[in-house]
Amino acid sequence: MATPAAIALHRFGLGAAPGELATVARDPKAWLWRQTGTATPTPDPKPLQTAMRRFQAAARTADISARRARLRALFADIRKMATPRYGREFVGQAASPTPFIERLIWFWTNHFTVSVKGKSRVLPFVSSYVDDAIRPHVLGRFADMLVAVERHPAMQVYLDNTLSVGPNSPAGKRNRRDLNENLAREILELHTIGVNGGYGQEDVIALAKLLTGWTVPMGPNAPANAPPFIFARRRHEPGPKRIMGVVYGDGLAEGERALRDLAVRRETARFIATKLCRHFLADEPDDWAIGHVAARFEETGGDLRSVAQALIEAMDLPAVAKARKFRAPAEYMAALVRAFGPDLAAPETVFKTLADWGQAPFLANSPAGYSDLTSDLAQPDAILRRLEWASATATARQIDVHPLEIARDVFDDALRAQTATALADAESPTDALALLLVSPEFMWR
Amino acid sequence: MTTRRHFLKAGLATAALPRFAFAKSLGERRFVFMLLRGGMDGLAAVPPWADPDYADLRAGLALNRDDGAFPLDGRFWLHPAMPEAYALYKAGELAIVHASAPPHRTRSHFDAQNIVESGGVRAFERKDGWLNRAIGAAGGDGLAVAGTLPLAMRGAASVGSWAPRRRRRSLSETLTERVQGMYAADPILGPAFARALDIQAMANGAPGGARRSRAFTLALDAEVAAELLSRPAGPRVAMLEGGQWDTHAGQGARHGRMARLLGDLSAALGQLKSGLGPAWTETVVVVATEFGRTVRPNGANGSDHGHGGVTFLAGGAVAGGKVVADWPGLAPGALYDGRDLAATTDLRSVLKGAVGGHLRVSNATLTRDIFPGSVDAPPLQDLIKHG
Repeated sequence: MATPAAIALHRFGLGAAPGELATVARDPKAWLWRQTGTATPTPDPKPLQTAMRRFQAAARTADISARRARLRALFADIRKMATPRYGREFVGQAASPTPFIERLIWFWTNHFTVSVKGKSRVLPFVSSYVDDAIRPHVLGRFADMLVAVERHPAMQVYLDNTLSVGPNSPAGKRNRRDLNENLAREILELHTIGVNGGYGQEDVIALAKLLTGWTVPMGPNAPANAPPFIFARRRHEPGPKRIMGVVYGDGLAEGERALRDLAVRRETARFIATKLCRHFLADEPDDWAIGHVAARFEETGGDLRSVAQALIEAMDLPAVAKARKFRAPAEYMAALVRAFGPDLAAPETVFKTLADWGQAPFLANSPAGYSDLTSDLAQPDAILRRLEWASATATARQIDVHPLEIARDVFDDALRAQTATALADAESPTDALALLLVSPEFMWR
Repeated sequence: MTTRRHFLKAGLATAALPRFAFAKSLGERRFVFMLLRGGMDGLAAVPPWADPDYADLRAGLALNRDDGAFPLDGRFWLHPAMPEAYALYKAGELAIVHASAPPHRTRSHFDAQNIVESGGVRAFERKDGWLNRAIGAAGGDGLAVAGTLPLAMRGAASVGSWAPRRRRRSLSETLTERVQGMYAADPILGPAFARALDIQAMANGAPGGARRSRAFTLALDAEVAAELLSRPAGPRVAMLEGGQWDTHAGQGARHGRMARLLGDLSAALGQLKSGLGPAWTETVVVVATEFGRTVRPNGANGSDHGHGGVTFLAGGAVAGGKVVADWPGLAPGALYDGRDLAATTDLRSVLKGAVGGHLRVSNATLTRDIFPGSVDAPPLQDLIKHG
């Protein structure tokens, strides 16, 4: 049975620093609640504009093989820079004074997955994706996040909307181009009302039509100062589009209106609440908790601050204390960094390690993102990989304090007898540290 | 415990495999299930050129007559990127079931894969997979060549997963024993870790275990799987997963992404045959996907999520050299939802035919336990030689 402080720190947050458990135990709920008052930054358009300029500069040549070579060089350069940068940001997030909010940002980033797997052209836009579209809205309106995400070049390119052309639009008629349903389908299935939300193929097609013209100027003839996202009217499918019973007309604003309508639907509230409860409370969350969070979502028109607070209200349920969640790779790494300090993992190794553990950032296999369920995560091979890393990390680390002492500082009364015995009996401090790194206390949250 | 310690020290000792020592009743028979995730375009893999509507509808996704496709039975051809598969067909070791689909109407990958893997009728109604239940009924031990255990393999029967990788760091025996002690009271970590050690020890000597290429990996996974399956005391049932079949853009025809994927699949089938050696004669490989793709190309030289598709059966025990198809045709009125190849064969009928015939599971068990709710999908007959 997890204590309220352990639930707050481990299940809602990113783990505990030494001594933190005792501090938070005074009022775990207030500690979480306070975090929902965090001010979120307004988005800075510059990084994305710079990325777009770099891409356009590399792409602007009529010679196809030269273009390909220049883009390859650009992508290699972005990869080289992005990996250590990700590691530095990760280590910073792990030590955050508002870990619940960081976890919410991770949750939404995974909910709105973009991936460069097999799609290098997404790469230029990924670095600023979270700061542009997720972070500013994590305590704001779901509708605003949805619109920001769907307009973002990373999502536009990832889900092929840049290839979608209205067949009856001027561009479609001239070049005999057609729709691509990918983005529209995933908006309905994964981003808003969910696969059981009651939509049909005709809704997918209508939404795809409505989103034609939403695109990213990536061609060799794109104007030099084109913004990263544009509405290309000549690709836009004309005529009325009926989505979930509502008819929309032509233009960018109508597309945004459709997204905002989807964002506040009852099905969306239910779908999002279920995912949140599954992520923050238990693999099989309590019906009351889902209903409570969904109702708050619906009453507030998708105000994510209120929704986060509703989640906190559900943390007292006995079922929550009884349940446990297996830490996903990033959560596991963050918990270790929070407990041991930033030098546990060199920034340039974080990305590679998470990849080895099966959940490399922005490399998911599908737009559904990565699983957060124990049945998917607690697999033999995954545990072995963590142990291999732990063994190598412990071997390379200078150990001044016995790992058992660190374990007591971090886990307090929650340290299990078997873990304490294993650490005490270990052949060497190195082995003891490796054991602590893979202890059940760190594997579960 | 003594056995395991000895085994780890030896690194590789086929005679002392702790978990795979009792392949109960499967004898020398092997069964491999290969799931192509993303929705393989069956109309690209096995084009129905004899269909009068095919070339027009498929447009840029259709092969040309001079692209060197392999002729099958006058109705169907095989994509030219699949020479190993064609060799199997000529040898009577490859059967193709066309216009087949799982029993769903969804175009969602996640729901459709869930139905294919669970063997159920509705998505997420079951937490275990048909392949695991088949192992439970037929005996043998199962191994998934995958990073995590796929749903089809999850369940009560003893199975494990193992992913090939470049280099495994060596772990000290004492450390792994301490970890086992520390995990002993944990109902999830304890068994999972014990399983991990067994699988790793067994796989240590597998040649393909050392390498894994970047893009397409089915052939490499097949090499590893064949090595493990060919061992006398190794697993008898294996599952492999292929990805990247969701060809929404740049699918191509003779060349391009689809051709590379099909080439990888074909090479994987070739690897299984050569790697299994004499055991191939008692092997059945089923290659399935969650749905086919739209008949017409989309706006990006790709195809979108469709319905009917292709299922392959390969192996020395397969009654092959034929295309099984109750062909619905591609005429406008015959298309599913006006856009997809209709399905005339339930994927469960194919799987029941293969599992029933090869793993010798009774029809009653198939319908009651392995594919519950499949009374209306009787096993497809004559897929297996000695069935």
